[in-house]
Amino acid sequence: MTTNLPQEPLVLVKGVKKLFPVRRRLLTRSAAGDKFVHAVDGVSVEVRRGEVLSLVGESGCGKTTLARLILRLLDPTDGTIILDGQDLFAATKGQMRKLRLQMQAVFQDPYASLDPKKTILQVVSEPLVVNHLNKTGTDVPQRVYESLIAVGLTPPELYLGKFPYELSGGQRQRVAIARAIVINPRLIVADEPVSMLDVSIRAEILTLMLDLKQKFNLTYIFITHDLAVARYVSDRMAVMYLGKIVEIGPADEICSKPAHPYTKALLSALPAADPRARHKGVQLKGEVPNAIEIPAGCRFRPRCPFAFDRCMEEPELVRVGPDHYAACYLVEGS
Amino acid sequence: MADLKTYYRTIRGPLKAVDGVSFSLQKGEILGLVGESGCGKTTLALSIVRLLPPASYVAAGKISLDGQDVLSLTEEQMKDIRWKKVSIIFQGALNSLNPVLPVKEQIAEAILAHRKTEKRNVEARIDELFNAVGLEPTRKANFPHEFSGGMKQRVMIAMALACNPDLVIADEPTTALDVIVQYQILDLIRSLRDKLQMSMILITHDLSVVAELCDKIGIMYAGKMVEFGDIFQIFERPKHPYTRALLKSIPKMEGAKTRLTYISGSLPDLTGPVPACRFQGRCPYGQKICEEVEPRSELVAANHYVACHFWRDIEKQ
Repeated sequence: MTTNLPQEPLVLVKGVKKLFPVRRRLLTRSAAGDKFVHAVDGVSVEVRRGEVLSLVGESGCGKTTLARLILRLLDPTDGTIILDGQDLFAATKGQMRKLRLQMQAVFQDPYASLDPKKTILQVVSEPLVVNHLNKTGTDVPQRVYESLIAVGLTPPELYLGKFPYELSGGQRQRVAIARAIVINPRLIVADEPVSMLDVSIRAEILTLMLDLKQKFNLTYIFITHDLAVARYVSDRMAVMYLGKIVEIGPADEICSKPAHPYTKALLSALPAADPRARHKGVQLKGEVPNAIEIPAGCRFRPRCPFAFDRCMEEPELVRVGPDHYAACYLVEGS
Repeated sequence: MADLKTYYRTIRGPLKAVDGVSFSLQKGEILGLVGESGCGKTTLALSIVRLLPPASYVAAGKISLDGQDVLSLTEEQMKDIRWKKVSIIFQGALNSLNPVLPVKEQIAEAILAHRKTEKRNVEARIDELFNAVGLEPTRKANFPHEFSGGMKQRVMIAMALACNPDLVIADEPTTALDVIVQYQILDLIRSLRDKLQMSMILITHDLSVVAELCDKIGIMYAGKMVEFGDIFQIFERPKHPYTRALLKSIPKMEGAKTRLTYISGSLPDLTGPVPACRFQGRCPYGQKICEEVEPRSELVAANHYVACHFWRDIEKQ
């Protein structure tokens, strides 16, 4: 499914860091200096045109922060992000306005992401209005129509005048997707778009998103904590741990031949959807440490069952297979 | 449990959240109750411990717990049974601890409500519980915010076990947890069951959690138990069209990626008139008879019940 054309990537993330200062307590001004949450701590990754790249990892691994940086909802502490050849953080206001037309977001909670006081028409046409693309003169822009049809809310007339509360969770998420595609973006950043939905509706939304990708030639950054969902939707998968990408590669290969011990642990912790394949034995101890005091060297070292002396030095991503990279000394490059 | 009906009072008439559910559970067994939001699984659980919200009531049916008729007990008698015979771990358990009390006080409260015992016995019991759930007993004086999500869930489990109940009901116990922590908690539940031989009802929407942990599974749809039985039997030979569709809608980790199938439409409005078989409107096999005659729960194999008129025909296809 991946495009093999020697094109420049749609998004190029280079050495991006985002540190959030930890708020000092009112009375005890610590003399030890300011502390920071290392939400994203040196990530370089490319998002290729027409692919689905999923970011997976546990809560607090930095996947959402990375997505917000790519959407330029946050400014990085360090590093650059290039969207379609243009530096996001060096862009002027005018350039930024144009760049924003290329990217849209779909969020986790369709109950919170749609304004309850707006009709579906207002919700879906909002990106057109704020970007001054609403100049056709008709009451209902053709694009809102087309976009509702594309997400399967047909006939659109039935939905235009409704309010979000009149719709089910699945329908609301369809509205959120319609809003994202209405300005014809190239990139959609979807942050846990199905985790609030029931299983049967989940499948419905995932299938819809894949269909739309084909139809409109979209590129997705898909954030999820659910590895089975990630495997289903994505071409490539990036596994994050404490603000770093520890493994990246073709989704199928990561699931069948994981290289990094953390990826292996994640996969083995996954309950199998088959009572004959129940787990026995190995599991990771402890939980993800907080991102304020990052362990020295390899971040995964304190929990890694295979850690040795060399892990005191931070490993870089090395090639472990075709298009497959991992940051671990045990999988010395090939 | 026999033919339990729990309704909610609404302005449009009774909402039949649980409408005629029967099942039995043996000592030491873990039952997984699954279904979409609004299918009645939480209401069912609350009916057992008699903690239903004010607008709801049990309209009919019988719940017997270790031979005792739960629904005929007085509130005083019921207080005695909660914690001791049956305890419940609520959904969003991570937020159900009192934030301004050390956790040991909260567990002590549960113990002292049922047993007149000396303070040091209580302390010893808390140490024992902490060890059982894999927490350092030295941390019992900590406040809830000093624990991580997984540890809070362990505290909740310790509290549920405080009075050695025969039945523990857990409502979505791992939903808010990350996968590695979820696995640790499932593993803990499994080992506690093996050690203490308690029974458990696990409420979840996650079929893989059920596959991982349970002995029996009950699939609920719109207030009805549509399929019930042995876990292996149902995962390998599902009969009800709803169960079959649910199993096909979860993405798999192995094998070729096949397009997921899904169930279109949504749950019927349970205050209004509903088809006799409630899945009728969304069922690919639905026919006239499904609208008119309610399918009875039939025994289709050892330990396997299904409520569908056409399970035989569907199986042949």
